[in-house]
Amino acid sequence: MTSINQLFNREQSSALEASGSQPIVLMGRIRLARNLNGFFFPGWSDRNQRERVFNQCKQAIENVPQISPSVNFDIEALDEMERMLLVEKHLISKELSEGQPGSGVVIHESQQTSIMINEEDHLRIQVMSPGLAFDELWQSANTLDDELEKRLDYAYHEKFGYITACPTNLGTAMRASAMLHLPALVVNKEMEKVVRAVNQLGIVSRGLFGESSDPLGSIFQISNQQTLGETEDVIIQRLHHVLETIIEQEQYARIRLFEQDRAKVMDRISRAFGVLKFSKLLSSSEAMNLLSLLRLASDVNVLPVTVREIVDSLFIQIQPAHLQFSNKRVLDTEARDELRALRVKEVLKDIPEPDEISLDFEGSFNKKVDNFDRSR
Amino acid sequence: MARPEQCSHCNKKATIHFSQIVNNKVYKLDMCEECPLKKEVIDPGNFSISEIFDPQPKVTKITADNSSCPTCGFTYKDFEKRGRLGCPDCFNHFTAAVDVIIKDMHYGVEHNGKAPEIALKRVGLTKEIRQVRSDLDAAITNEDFEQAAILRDKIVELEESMTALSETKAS
Ligand SMILES: [Zn+2]
Ligand SMILES: [Zn+2]
Repeated sequence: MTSINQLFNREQSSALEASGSQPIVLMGRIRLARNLNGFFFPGWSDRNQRERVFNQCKQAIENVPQISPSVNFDIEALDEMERMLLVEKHLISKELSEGQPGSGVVIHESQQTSIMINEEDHLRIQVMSPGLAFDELWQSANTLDDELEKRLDYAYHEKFGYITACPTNLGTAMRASAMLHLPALVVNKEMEKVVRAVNQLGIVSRGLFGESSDPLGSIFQISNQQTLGETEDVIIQRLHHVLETIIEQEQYARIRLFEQDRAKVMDRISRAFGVLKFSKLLSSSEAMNLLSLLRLASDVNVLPVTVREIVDSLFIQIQPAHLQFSNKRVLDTEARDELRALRVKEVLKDIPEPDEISLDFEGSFNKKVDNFDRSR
Repeated sequence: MARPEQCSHCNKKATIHFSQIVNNKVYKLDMCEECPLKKEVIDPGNFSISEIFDPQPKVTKITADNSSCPTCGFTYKDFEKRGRLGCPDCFNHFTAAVDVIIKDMHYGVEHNGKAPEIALKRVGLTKEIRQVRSDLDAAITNEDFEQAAILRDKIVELEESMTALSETKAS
């Protein structure tokens, strides 16, 4: 408990809450799976073996400069709320949070790097940051991995590459992903088409929290599906290219949306603003979907640019475990909904109401879209 | 489940029902009296029903043996059930099955990315030691004891390099 407090009660914030937020893009992430020779995979081994792996990995990680200062948690030492807190911050997966004995996580103080131990694989190295900084992300993941390889006996197969418990991750054992905010594609009902198109390129898309959840707040996680047969660079480049295309599609969809349905979309944004400011009970899914509209409004200058960062921070802060953690006790659903409404109202109190007079696509879009033919 | 009324081949009334077990999988065939399939089934030869249903039988079935990984005891059935393997050595034991699975899963069948330097050296050394050992066996069989002595020294040398590799890690 002490170290969870140490980690989260300071001004440090996770990749999603960090400054440097961009239109459409929430964050990018690279994850590497690694396993050790001489031990069964976590799902097939007993507590004793997992504990040996845990201690060996923890010791190896401690001496690596790239992930220090850090804190580590034995998952069994955390209560339900603390585990969910780490899930909501994307520092651990749901699977790890289920609390298999002998598993845990090491988290860098920046909260942008974490290493899960004994999840599906012995090690899951994860680096994330705001924006689409894949070159930097790959570089940090790669260096961290090099350092760990000096200290641990990695399982590697000359043909299959890095060995992973599940054959879907063999080879590079790398999953690069981005979290994108695509409200216009969702409103225009174009998302299904996009998902189908990217699937054919070996890219998968899912909701914010895990494999199959609803796209809450129109936030999608988009990542490479294949890991074997290509270099890390090629995989990252393809993903990056697909992401840029999706971003461009979202930009066009926004322009279409505001040009064809301006009154309707302004009404939705204003209603969202009103509900967020005046409601007494807010469920987390309702809040996510309404905040999503404010982020869109901020991207197109209908709300101040600063609103985007506020929304990104709220996306995390209004999650159930975060609310309870900040309140220092367990709350039932209604108490959470009440506290959530209060928090949101407080944060939005000085924000001026949405104003379409200032509608402007240029400032928030990248150069490619500046050339878009608006007269179409 | 009741047997189907219709011939699997030509949709006429089925009167002949036939089952065959291939690689632990049951294949069933229902035929009408005049069916061209009947001739093939009754004719002796290499015919098997599985070929009618699966013109290119999937290798996955062939690997569905009852053997288990010598290191961790994981069986192929466990893999079908869990979708994950038991230990790194499973990939040496179930190589054929993994080969088949990854074909539909990935862009290629061979790793093309980053490789861990030390692990690679270890793989190289392991292979070399295996080779020299088999050379040594051959030398002994041929009673070439001079050569055998040289090979024995070579093995000691290689094993020392192997130990040195692990010591790099400890530091
Ligand atoms: Zn017939
Ligand atoms: Zn095994």
